[in-house]
Amino acid sequence: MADTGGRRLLPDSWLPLPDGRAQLLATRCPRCDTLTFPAAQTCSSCWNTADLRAEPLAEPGTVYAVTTVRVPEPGIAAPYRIGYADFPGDLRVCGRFTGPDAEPGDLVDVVTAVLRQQEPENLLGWAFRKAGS
Amino acid sequence: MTVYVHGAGIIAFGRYPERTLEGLAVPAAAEALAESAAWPGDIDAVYCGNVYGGMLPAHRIAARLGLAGRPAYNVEAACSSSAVALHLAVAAIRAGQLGCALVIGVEQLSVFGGGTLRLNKSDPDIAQGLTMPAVYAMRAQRYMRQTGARIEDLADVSVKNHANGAVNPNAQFREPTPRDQVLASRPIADPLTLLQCCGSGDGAAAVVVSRHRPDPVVWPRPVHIAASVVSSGTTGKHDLSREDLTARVAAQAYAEAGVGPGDLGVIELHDAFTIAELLYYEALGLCGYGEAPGLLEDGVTQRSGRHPVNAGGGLLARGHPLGATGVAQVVEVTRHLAGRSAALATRPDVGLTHCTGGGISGYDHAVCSIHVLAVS
Repeated sequence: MADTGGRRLLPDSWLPLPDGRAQLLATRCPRCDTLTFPAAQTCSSCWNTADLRAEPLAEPGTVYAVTTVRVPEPGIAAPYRIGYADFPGDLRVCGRFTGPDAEPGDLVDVVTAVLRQQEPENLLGWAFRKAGS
Repeated sequence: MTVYVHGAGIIAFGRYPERTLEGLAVPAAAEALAESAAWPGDIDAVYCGNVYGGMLPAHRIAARLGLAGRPAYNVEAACSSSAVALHLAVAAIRAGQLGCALVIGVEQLSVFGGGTLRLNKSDPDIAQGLTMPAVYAMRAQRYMRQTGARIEDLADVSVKNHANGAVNPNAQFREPTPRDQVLASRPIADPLTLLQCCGSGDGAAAVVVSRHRPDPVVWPRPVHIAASVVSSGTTGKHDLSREDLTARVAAQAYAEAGVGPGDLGVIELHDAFTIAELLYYEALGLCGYGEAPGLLEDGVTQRSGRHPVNAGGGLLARGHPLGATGVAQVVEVTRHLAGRSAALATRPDVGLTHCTGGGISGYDHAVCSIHVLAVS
């Protein structure tokens, strides 16, 4: 998606990439090796706050479940697709889906998307797109 | 220490935007207090489960009942609010901290208009557009995929519960809904349609609980709390086709009460969406994984069946004013056990109430609470 202005949801947990794709970022704890997503300042497992590192989620993800929402969250135009994709590191990530319908078991890439068109700024976030589409 | 139910009260669930939250709760509380024959001095504490009613609902209601000046507790646990409130009251009585408590559940959603629940906008999943129907739609998809269950099986939960609501004067939704009507109703989140989702409304319920045995003239079949359990869900990946939190809480409740699922003569469980009731048959141990549609089809969970589930309509037909549901379930089960209701084929000796609560990211559910009630 082209560079669109807006506020980023969970700005520590992802980065927009130049080609419209996005990089999801988890937090790795050096003390207990736990990987936490969304990114965190405190390890959710051992409560360590020192030397936590950002670690990109390896792609592609695999769709676990997805639905088409017809009565929307206020502020989002329906219908839209939302669900979960699984990533290496035993992480399940909630995200909107964009592009041709992906179904459970399909591989997905991560892209940048406008989640909400709102004033004064759109809300930007990540979305899942069927790999190869 | 055994905790007995001394009084139960409930108002007809519906939409009452012109009333106040306190105005909904007071009649339910007064009905419970009247049945208990308690004097104000007998009530050691007031507990209130509520989500959207603003600050201090327990205190606001207590003032109108002449019950100020004693401990009052406001409990929020999403859809499980008043079940958790009851749990805290029971725990305090069992610990000897108090002798008798009034526990209220109340909610007034009509003031927000209709539509899906307003959840925390700061929650990242909600900000992305995840709604409660969407979560349950995915549960439905996974369950149907894993077990071969059909959307008609889900719709039949709504058919049963709306038929039950039709004969419950306190239910918000009193019209039977044939299967075709359920399936043809407005799509909400695929594959769930409007009549597969609990509606928005108002309601209140209350119980008086005490460590003393109740008046045997009022309660020839005294009802006590045989188990009261609360726990939280877990973070990480969950199999959306299995309700592990409920299974874990149920195991604890059965152990505490000394009963098994086969002993349950009446059950009120958290049918916020049709798929939920099927998942909870399995998690409560009424049947094995994938067997819930068969249990429903065989009539086991009808009012005339061996294990009647949601005989008053459940969340789908009685309605789901969040804070009211937990105690409303306890009121209905209490009345079946006490012999005050003629809705079931046989009078039960043991009943179970179950609710969950969620709407935040990271968890399967945030909360689950189960109570087992039994005739003494």
